[in-house]
Amino acid sequence: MCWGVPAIVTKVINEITAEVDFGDGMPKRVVLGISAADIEPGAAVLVHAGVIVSRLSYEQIEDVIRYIEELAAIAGEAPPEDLIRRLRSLFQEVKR
Amino acid sequence: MDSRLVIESVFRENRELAYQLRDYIVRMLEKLQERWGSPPRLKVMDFCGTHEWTITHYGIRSLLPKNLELVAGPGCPVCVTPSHEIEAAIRLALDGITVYTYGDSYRLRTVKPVRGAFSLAEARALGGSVKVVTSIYDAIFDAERHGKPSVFLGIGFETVAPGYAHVLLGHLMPKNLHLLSLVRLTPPAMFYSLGMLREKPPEPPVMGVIAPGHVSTITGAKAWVPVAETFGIPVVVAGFEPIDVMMAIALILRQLLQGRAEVEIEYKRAVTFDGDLRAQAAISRAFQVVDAAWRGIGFLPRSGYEIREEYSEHDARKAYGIPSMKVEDWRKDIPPGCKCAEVVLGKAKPTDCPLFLKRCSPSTPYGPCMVSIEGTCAIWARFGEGGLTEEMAKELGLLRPEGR
Amino acid sequence: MKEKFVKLAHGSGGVEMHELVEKLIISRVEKKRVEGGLGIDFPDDGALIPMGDGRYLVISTDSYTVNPPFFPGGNIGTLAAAGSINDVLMMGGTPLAALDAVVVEEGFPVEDLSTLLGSMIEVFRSENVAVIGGDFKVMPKGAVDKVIINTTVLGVTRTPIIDVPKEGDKIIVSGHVGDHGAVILLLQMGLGERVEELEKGYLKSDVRPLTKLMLPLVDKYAGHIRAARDPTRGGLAGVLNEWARAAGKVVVLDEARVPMRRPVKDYAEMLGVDPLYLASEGAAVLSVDPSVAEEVVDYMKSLGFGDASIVGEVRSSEKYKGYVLLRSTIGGYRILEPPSGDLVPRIC
Ligand code: SF4
Repeated sequence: MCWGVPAIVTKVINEITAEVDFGDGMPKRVVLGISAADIEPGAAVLVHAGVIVSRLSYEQIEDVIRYIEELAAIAGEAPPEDLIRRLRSLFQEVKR
Repeated sequence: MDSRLVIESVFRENRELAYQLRDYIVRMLEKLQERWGSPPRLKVMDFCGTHEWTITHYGIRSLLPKNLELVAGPGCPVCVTPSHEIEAAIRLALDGITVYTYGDSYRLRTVKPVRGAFSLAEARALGGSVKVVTSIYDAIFDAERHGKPSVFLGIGFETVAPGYAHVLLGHLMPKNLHLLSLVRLTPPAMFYSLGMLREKPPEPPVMGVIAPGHVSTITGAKAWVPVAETFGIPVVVAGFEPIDVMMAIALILRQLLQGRAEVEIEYKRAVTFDGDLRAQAAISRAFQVVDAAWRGIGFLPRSGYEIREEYSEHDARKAYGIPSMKVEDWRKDIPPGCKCAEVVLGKAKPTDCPLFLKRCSPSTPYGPCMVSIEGTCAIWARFGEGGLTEEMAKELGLLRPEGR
Repeated sequence: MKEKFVKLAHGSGGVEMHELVEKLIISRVEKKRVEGGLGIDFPDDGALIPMGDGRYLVISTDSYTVNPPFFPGGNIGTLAAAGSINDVLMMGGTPLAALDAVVVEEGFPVEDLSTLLGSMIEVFRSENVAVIGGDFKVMPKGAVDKVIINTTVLGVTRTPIIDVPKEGDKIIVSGHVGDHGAVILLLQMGLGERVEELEKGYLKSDVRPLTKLMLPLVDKYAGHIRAARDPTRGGLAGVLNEWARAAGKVVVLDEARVPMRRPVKDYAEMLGVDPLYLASEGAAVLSVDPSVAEEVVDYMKSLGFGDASIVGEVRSSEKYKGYVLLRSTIGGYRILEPPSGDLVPRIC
């Protein structure tokens, strides 16, 4: 129901407004749905209808890897090593 | 690294991961068969219209085995907005008041015309002042500039509420702009539709729910705990990329295999269990919870937000005397013959409606489910759901039988 | 008639427009083509008239309205010249001459008009197209929005490309798609007054004449190119649907292989609009004999179209005709519907 788009914060203007870049190079004003204390320029956030509804964290890739391993075990198959390795190196990159 | 690139490489474009998950889904269904002694046939409800969009847009049904059906729930705030409210907005627009709307509600049709216009799009063609915006901020910016009387059509679920709340609490709207709050709350609707399904269980039964990820960024996954407990089925809060949805299905099957019925978060990059407490606080300062009408569904208790008295100077209902709908005058709001009410609740598929792709099509929508891009009928019509796509892919030798 | 009033959706090149034009014009015209030529009843970029010596006269006309008339990457003048030139090129023609008709609103700055028409004339000059006539009108303030330019371009060809894709054909695009459409969306979103700000952004219209691509291509591969179109209104999705319908085939499109610029993708995603429906004004879509498809792509690259690629193919089926089947990034399938309605952003 709620189209959400990832964006990068370019400026925190005040307690309720910020500027983000959706990738088109034109900073856009949005309303802060979350607390201003939780974001800073450079933060990846999720925007819905001009409202920042969440800050994105990519620790989730770790979970994806764990889920794959667990699902493989349930399915009685060997975990897909190559795929996991690629996801892991992506995770390392995000952390940096 | 840019967040968009991460999303794409992991959650949006990873064909290998998609095939891997499909494989696990098939395996787990086989295990369920061993456990239950008969081939499992089950439904998973994707409550949210954006999930339904992802499912069709990425052709997820064509990747899944036939004994696992995905059914769409009532999660489209546009489809459930009563005709009465859109009629009021059209009236305003034709009276020379600028109406700001999202693209979705711009095309939403009313049951009866207002001075010849069935929608805000038609009101514009008749000279009404209607502007399509993507956020309330665009409306504020524009209304400040022209200074003329304006109304923002505040459609949405919990996800938009904190934005509206901050705008109200911070008095960000210029005096000439008012907000018409049409915000609806999702848990009551999920309860209602699952309750209906429990009364008259469909065949095969709904054995899992994919819960709305973006609503949950605000409410937290905790909002769905009562659902898992009351109905005894797994609920997985999922993101909106195709891998998110496939992972959610796999996690639901895993719970079924393990005999669990819990709330699990797949969408951990955006959702926490408690949600955004500050946003929740802001919402309750700006809004009060009221009983609200859902087009095609009914009057659901405590399922809508109305602007509190303290902020009524910004309330379009007060400024223009637009009454909120009372239970007494609620009527079905669905044109004769349209099965949208059942479609919305997951009781019928669009293809069960005799008007589907005949009298009712995306270019000439008849029922509300065909209007929003997110409405189930519109999605099925546009993307060939209901088997057509798979059939065609098979016929052309592009898909192996049974999707494997 | 179902509809009482003309809506914007009737002008967006989708089903609604086709229905209206069919009803109001095509069905009422008796003589739809010149004997031996191609006329109003065939969906293509322009018309053909046989010249009697084996050659054909190629004619295409188009009216251009963009508000504001200046946009990142070009203006209504460049668009009016390049657009009609491209239409003639896509018919396999060599553009020779042009006519232009300009309608201006009272009060429009002469300096701006001079710049716009200068751009138009410059495109015709650089592509060696003579401007042989035209018309100029002024309307009272408010009766027309700033400026409308209509151009008609004439060309000749021995080897017309009449769009009929064949089974097995590969679908090739010459480069990034959707750039112009993204800019237009941006303007529609009411950012028009902030042109300077827009110029700083990454979105630029791709408007340009495709003479340097199409003339050599047609020269070398005439006969192997079964269809050619520039994906303007309705975008790639629009062209492929028209072809699928006209040929009674299924076009299979591999989404992951469609070249698209990052900002275009991101902007479309932000609005919740499918970029496959966004217009290009400087890209070509071809349906090409599979035996030369790879070669054609290499040749296009050598002509400076480095992102040219094969994005799909034409299949045929007894049961299904006139569909575009899209293979998604994760390998699932969906139908890519013909464009309909005006593109509006969504929040749901
Ligand atoms: S196809 Fe149209 S008429 Fe039928 S249920 Fe859907 S919206 Fe209603």
